[in-house]
Amino acid sequence: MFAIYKKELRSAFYSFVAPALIAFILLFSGFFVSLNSLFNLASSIETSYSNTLFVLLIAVPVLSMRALAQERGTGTQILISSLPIKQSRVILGKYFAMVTIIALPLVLTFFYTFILGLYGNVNYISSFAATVAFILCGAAMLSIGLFISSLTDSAIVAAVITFACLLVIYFLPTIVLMLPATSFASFVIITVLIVAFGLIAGYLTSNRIACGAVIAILESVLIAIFCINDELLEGAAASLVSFLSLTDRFSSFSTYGVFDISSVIYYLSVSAVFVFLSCQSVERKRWN
Amino acid sequence: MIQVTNLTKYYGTLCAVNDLSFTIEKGHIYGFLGPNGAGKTTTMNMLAGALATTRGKILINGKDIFSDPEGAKKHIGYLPENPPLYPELTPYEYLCFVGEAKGLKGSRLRLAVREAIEETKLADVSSKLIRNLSKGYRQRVGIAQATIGGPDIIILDEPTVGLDPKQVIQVRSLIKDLAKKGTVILSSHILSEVEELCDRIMIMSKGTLVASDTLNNLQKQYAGNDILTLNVKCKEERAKQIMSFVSGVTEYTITPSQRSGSDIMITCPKKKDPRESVFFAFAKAGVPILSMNYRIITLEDVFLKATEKAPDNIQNGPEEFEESDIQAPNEEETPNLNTDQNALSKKGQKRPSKSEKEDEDDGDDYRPLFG
Repeated sequence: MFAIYKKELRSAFYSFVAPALIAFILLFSGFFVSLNSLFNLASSIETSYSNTLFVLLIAVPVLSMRALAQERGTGTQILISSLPIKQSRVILGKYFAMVTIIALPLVLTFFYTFILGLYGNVNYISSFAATVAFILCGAAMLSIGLFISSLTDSAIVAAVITFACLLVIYFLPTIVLMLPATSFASFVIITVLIVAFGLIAGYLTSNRIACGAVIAILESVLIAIFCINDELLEGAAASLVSFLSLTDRFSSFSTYGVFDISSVIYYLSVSAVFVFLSCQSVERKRWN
Repeated sequence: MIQVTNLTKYYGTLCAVNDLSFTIEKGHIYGFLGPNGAGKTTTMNMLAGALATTRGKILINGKDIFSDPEGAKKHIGYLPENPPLYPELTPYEYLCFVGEAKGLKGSRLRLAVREAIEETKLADVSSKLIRNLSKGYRQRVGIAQATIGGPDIIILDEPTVGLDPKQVIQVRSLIKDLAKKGTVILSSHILSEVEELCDRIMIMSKGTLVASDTLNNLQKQYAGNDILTLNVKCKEERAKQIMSFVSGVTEYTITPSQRSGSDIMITCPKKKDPRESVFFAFAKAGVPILSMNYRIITLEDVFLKATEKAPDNIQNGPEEFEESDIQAPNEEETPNLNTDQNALSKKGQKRPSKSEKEDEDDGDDYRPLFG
């Protein structure tokens, strides 16, 4: 895994993708820190993180698009598959390399806190927690990008789809406001989510029975709830979608300075699930 | 060394490799031959563990490539058809990465990389970016990554394709050196190359192994088909009349020559050289023989004969292919065959939709289907 990690980092820095992205993130984080802390005299950099979050929407697709799609496009996937390394370790090596590249400018941004500390009272622990959360949020986004990259042979297609997905995730808190709160609307929205989840499971496992079983079980539970007590479903879709939002969760770190363990676990879970799905997707292609 | 049993690979419903069984012994150079779409690349990908099988078993030094992939792959170095290179790295960095991925560390890694660079004569370009290297050097980098760490088995898919004649000679000499240390399996479309390098030849056609033996044995098995061609200074009828006096020759064709006289093509009977009797028959009739050419069977003839009778690729899905569909090999139809290859039943050969031409074009270009 370490060999892959080193190679990925080397490739990223040699191809100027990594330096460009690091410069890009530093530029925006520097800009927002200047704006919030130097001009508006805010003593914490957490707010600046909140503003910088949208930079990840561009940085993540650019970084993750090549991860697996390019390997297949150029034929190096055959080399990787013939090497005596487990596929899961290959993917983890790639994933950690990407997380490192995203984390580097964020760690550098954290050092701005010490500059601010020279002129006022700064809560270092809160700033550090927000930095960790920011990196974890980026890592979760990267795992989604990695998974999308595993689905296609074209890096550009992977980038576009990842960008679209992250954009939807970014705007989920706004989308939630537009969702109708009636129980029937919630029923329909949750049904759509269940079918989408079932189809992805079916595609990855190439097992129609598993796909049907997942949809049938979740759907029957939903129907049962809807029939027995439909009040439970009122506003449920909005709550569920809000729960799934990556960016909304970051506000507890940036706005309130709270180290929200549930959000940390959520970020880690999303990362683990999508890295696992990426492994499954790559293995699936090998077996087809 | 390598034991392959009932290896089968389906792409969707198309059978790319069908029930392949063979054994590869230590210390030989094996040549994989076959027309486009024969399943060579698919087989090599499966031997290297880069592609999963639909059915069958591959044991590398006793280790199953699917149940113990890391143990099995340690013994293999693989150069795919297109060298799998990272253009943003230098050959040195690239070889360090491959060596490290193969489990080499520290001084062992540095030594292995240095050896691979020396063997493939890459020292001059080892610090240049791979994207700036010529096709020949890239191919050599590909070969270097396959040889790094000294694997017992080296699989090379068309190693000399795209190289200039001087580079071809260098690569061939390198392959001979590699074979002294272990086993080399290579595929090639260049028959003379296989003839020169390989001491065991495996011919694939339409997903099946149709011949597998040493070149000498294959020539012996296909002997009896030696061809004698003559150009004689007389008309067809006269030539036919004279030929009727030549004893032991029954199969021949006579056509008017484009230059003068007639051309005769005699299919020689087994273990009998008809040149003298043909000469005396025409001399006795007072008809001059303008040219005579006795062609001993070559690898090209073996290749053409072995591949022409292969069954068509199966179009049924794997689930439709049953044990009862497999029959014992028919020795009359497939002349050699020192293999465990099973012939296909008629049911297994049915091809409901695609044209034959499409099948010929498929094969090595297969890619895993997406979606």
